[in-house]
Amino acid sequence: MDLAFRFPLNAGLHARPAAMIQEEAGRYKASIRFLNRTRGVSADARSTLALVATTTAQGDDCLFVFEGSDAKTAHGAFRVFVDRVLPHVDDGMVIPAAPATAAAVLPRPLRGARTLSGLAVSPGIGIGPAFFLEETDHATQVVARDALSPDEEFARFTAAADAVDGDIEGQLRASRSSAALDILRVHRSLLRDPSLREGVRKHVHEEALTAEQAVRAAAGDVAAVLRNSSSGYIRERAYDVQEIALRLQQRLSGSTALPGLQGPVIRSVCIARQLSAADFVSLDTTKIAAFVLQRGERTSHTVILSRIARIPAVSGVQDIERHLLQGAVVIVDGYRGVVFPAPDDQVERFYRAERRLRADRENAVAVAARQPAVSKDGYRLEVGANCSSVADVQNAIAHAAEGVGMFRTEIAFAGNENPPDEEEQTALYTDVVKCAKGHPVIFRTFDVGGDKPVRWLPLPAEENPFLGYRAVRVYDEFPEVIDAQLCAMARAAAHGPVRIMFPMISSVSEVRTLKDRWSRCLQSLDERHVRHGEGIPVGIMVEIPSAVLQMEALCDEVDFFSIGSNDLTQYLFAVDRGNANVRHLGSDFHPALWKSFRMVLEEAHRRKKWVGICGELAGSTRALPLLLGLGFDEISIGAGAVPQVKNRLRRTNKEECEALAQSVLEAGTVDEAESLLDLFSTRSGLMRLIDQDLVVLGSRADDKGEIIRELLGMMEDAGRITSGDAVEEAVWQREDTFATGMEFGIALPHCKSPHVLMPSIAVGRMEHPLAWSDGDALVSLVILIAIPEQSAADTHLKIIAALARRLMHDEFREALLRAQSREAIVDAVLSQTSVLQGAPSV
Amino acid sequence: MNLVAVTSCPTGIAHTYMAAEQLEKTARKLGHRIKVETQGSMGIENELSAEDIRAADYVIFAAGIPVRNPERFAHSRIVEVPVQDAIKNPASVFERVGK
Repeated sequence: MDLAFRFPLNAGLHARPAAMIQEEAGRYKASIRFLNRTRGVSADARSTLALVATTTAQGDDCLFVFEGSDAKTAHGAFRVFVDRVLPHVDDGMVIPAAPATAAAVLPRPLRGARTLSGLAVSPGIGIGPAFFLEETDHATQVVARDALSPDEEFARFTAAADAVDGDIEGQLRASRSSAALDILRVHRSLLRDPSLREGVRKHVHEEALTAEQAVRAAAGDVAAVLRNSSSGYIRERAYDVQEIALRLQQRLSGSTALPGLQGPVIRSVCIARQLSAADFVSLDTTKIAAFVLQRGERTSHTVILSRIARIPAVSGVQDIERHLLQGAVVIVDGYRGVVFPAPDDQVERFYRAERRLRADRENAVAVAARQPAVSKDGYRLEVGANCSSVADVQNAIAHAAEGVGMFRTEIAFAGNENPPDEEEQTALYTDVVKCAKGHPVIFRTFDVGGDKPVRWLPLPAEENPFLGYRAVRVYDEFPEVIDAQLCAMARAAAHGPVRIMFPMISSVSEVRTLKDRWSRCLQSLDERHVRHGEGIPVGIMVEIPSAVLQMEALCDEVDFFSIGSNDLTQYLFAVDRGNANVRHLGSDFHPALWKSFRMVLEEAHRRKKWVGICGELAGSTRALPLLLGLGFDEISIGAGAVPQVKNRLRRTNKEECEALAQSVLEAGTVDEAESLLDLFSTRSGLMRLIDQDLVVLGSRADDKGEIIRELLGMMEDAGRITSGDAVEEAVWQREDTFATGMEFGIALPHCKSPHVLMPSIAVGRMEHPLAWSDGDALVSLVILIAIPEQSAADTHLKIIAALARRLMHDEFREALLRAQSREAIVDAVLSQTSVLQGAPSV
Repeated sequence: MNLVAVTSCPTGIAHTYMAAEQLEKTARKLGHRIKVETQGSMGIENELSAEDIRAADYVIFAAGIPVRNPERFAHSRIVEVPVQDAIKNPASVFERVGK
């Protein structure tokens, strides 16, 4: 039996999804092979390392092949795994983008200082005394001695492996950090990997090595395979294998201590040749101002952990012992990948200002992200996140999600032997509600099918699970399980705003049965005198076409609707999205799909009910204008995408989107619909010359350089320039020609640069007037203009020219100096388009 | 007086146009007639024709970079000033022209 699919994850088949596949495969007796047809490689699905070694990348054509007694069951389960679990594995994870190499251009105040350059792997500025971390040297661990018999040596290995496994279990239970949990799980799966064990067995038997030597050899073999990968991310997993080998060797040598390091007592910049994830986890991060690492890593767990802990880090710094002195104050610039081993006053002053500036910027971005997403013409679209765990919810709130648009309840209990009872569920759901910090949480009741026989809900295997006995259809057979769930959700609702949602609804009578059950649960809680929420809204997922056609009657029964676009598309077009032969028939932009959405929205809104959408389409920026135009109340997406989507929304005009939606609905084919969409995006994607996020009133910058950097920082955060430092240099070069201060307390620094993506104006009004150039008046208003290298005569340039002319008039200058809000400044700058004849408004 | 002028500056974004505005404003105030050609980021605008140039008493160059197509002014009386002066103290530019 085969299961074909396209690999969905951006980071490829890395350790985490590989470990999950291994775990899933381990449940069945059947042999399960993974084939990557694009690359012509295959692996045993039970080996994390073999899976990772396939170097599978996003978009690769893949296949699982099942053979054996329970092949059918395994196949069904994997189908659900591939369709529902795999695409979300990395939802919360941020894969660091290829970091900038050491800044090509350093700001002028820093030139001339002695620097060490490296890779900027974790952003931030760290200032503190240097502290060298003691390291465990891998090489010296292996004690030379005569080997016992192969069986005895292998037994020693197995005992050590079991012991380390137990240690990791203990650490897993004790850890609070979800990032550390991930890493520990990966290590555990590597430890249990058949490739590693097989390797040790072979070395022990064929070469009569001691367990220690065999571990080192086997780990070396595996690491070598990983290092041959074309993916940098996978190459670095070789370090994980070395870490496991080291832990095994320590155990074999009799040491029972958990890996750990002696960290600094006072807050310091920690320096090391390399740092293992296990060591990182043992350090007190409050005492760490920054990391300086010799090993040139980009995506190691240490780097990821640093980013999550917000500790600046620079890696790939050569000869650390020669250049850095224990105790001497050093400055680490995690933005530019530069270390200052002996900073003078000027450098220190620069960085103290820089730290403040960056903090202000990050704060502004975070505050902006947390604002509700309102379109340019004032339409509010709620942006929620899809979650499956408490960690997901934490992550979602951190990314400024406005609620949990869908909490997938079955995933949290997937590993249970027995059905989760009311107490266990109440505990989890309450945690979720509390983590959501007052934002609404929509719990979806168990969506489990005959294809994935979750151990505590034994369902028969089916020929056609997607059209089969699943989700709400099975509840009557397992009333205790669903009753426990409903009671738990009601109890959690006492702690915060909760809604419940039923999946896979095909008829009104189904809903009525469920509502009866729900009332009986609430009643039972009252009889038991257990606290629960009141007035909990009840909704359904609209994913079956028959529900779309029964909206009128359904509006009589429920409070809200959430469209499950993935499944709706499959059922609507009779297409299995996992089937490469027909996938294209179920296109996201088929007018028929959007017509169904409109049917749902029209009826629901007529009856004043809320409609959201979850599923991949909800998170598609391409679909966003349509979702907005059709009038959705909410979209629920992956947490990581929330800030960008909100940003996009703020720059979009709903009225224009309504017109777009209308034309798409009238389109006859997918191609037509997509052309309309693309045309719309090009036209409306252009940003204005200036926006509120480019204006600062009451800047506390102390000098000319600081205000220029502050304004450029805003442009960089708005995605209008690619490198603040490079554009800054262009601005200074223009200043070198002749200073841009004007008589009236206004300065007009400006430049043309290839690092500028679109013509942009930033305005800063000073708290205290600054000196700008000798002999000129102090400056209280700075207008910074940056244009791209290739500037044809275009509207933006016309506006800038008109702005320059307007600045020669008293009334205009007064307006800018007296404006009470950032909006007023933006209006003043843009409004003088009326000066031009026939210029369109922007 | 009947005057024409050409303004330009290194990046051609702002000072070119500020100088033009100042010269136009001040000329109006002083009772002169002026036509200003700008040579900036948008290319040459309000281009001076041969007729404009012939009819002018003086030509003002308020330019931070060499003026383009300077042959046009072969037979004119040219007054060159730094573009900053045209912006900061336009009245002084006209004084210089008078002399």
